[in-house]
Amino acid sequence: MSYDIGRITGLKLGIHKRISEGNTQIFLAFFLMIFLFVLSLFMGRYSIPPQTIMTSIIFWLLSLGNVEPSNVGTVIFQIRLPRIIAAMLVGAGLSISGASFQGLFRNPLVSPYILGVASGAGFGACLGILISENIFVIQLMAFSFGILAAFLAYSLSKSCKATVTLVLVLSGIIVGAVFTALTSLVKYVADPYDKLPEMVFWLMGSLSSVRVEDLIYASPAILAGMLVLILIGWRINVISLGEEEARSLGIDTKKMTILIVICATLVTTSAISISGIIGWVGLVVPHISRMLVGPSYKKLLPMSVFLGASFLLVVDDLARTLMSIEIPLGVLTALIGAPFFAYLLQKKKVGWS
Amino acid sequence: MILRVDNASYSYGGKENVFEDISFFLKKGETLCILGPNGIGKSTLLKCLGNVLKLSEGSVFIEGKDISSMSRTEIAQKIGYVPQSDQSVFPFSILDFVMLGRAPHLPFFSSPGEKDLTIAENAINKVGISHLRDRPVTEVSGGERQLALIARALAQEPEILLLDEPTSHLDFGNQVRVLNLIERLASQGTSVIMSTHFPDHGFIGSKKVAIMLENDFIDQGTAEEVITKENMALAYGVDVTIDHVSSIQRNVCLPL
Repeated sequence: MSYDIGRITGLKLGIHKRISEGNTQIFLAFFLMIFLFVLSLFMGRYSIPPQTIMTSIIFWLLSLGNVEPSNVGTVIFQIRLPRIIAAMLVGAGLSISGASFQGLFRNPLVSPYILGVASGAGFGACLGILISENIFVIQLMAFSFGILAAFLAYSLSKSCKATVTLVLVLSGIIVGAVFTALTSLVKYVADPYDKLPEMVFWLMGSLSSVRVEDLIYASPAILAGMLVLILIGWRINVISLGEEEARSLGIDTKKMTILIVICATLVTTSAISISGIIGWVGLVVPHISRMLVGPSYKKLLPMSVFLGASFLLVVDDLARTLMSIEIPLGVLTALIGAPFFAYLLQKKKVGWS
Repeated sequence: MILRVDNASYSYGGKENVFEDISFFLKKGETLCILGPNGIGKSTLLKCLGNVLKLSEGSVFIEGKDISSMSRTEIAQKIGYVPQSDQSVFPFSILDFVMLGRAPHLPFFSSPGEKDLTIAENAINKVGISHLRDRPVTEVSGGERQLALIARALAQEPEILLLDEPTSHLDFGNQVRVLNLIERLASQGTSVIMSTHFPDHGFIGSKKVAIMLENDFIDQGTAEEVITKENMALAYGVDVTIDHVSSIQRNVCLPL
């Protein structure tokens, strides 16, 4: 009798193991992210001895944040910490959006900017810089125009009666082209000594001016969007089979498409409204994640979150410590991401056919 | 009566009707075999029944209920649809792929658990590809992929199974195995509608047969009634012979 029970539980354990396969890698990626988070606190232009950082963090934790503002405290909690959290949010957000769009569009070469969000947000930011000095106005404009671009692309695709996802991609290209042209126009009329450098800098992406307030308004949208995407992760597998098969499996493809587009757009736009346009993260990280945990979105999305956060943390650490001036993030992500991607392609380990 | 189709018509984007005014019904455990030349609309009809496409006119009833009043999930719990081929881009393992058939049975925000895993594994065993369980679906042969598609539909546990040319990519052995599987499913109470290019398939097991020609069923009934020299000449423009083979106790249809 006991033998039988042993067999049954053994069988159950075996099943458990198969369902949880790949979870080890996800845990490892999570710890990598935490490790890099702590490490990044110790890195920066303003050199502080590690012991001082430790004591001030412990002191801050014990006093529940009611610490007297010291130089060290200001650097750590007002400058480094917001920037580190922003890097994690932006990296995670761009990666999960990229991965989700790749599934929705059944194309592994899709980035989170496929619907013209980056061009829209870029135009909004440049227009904001042109008319205002206020950073909040600039971020709000970037966010609004990013959302507007995705909305226009979606509405345009609705008016055509062809395969929804294919038309959506084309609509994204059309909307993107219009906003890119408008951005050029704004840059052309901008003051070349004052405003233009600021625009160029924004378009290359940077986290150097992230403040606590930016995180407060951007993080709810990013976190909520990521949560929904992770929750519907398994169903993104079904929609990646294509519309006809997804429908035959009981998926309302129209509603599902709208849900994914809304979540991914909200996450992407919120992210780039505080960071500027950062390329490559949303394309490369999903690929690396797919190599590590396989193509199932149930595991791919959490993995993309942790790896994306880790990747942008590393890149941002390099951006602020490598040279005496800040290196734009978009430049570094491409310089690191592109060769790495080329290496992966050579190895032929990319997870798609 | 598990499935009833009344005056079904379909046209792509309001153009000429692919088929018009098709009516038929199916009882529990019955198998309907649809014959007809290439491009006549057999696949389109199956897609309409599977709720992949929407009929332009007419209605489909499952257990007396009009499918236009049912949600996609409800329909997918009753009807499984197996397309001719699958265009997966991502290399899901066969097990993960088959598990997607559980989608209509799971709440929106959840993912499959142990019970679903067992169902998926049983489905994989039924079509005989358990040795491929962990192989990527994008790297197996076309025939193996077709078997995986059938397994996915079985994991859906439908009462009606629609198969679009289920044997088209299969080798001789697997063709026979799939036809036997269909017969076994039917005897266990699943109703099956399949399209095929082999009239002979109609004679295997006790099937109903319909011939689709010029956007309508020109004949439907038992295999013996429908698969005749005249009908085959009409549908395919070739002469056939239909003979009883005593060693296998059934009729066969062979080209002359």
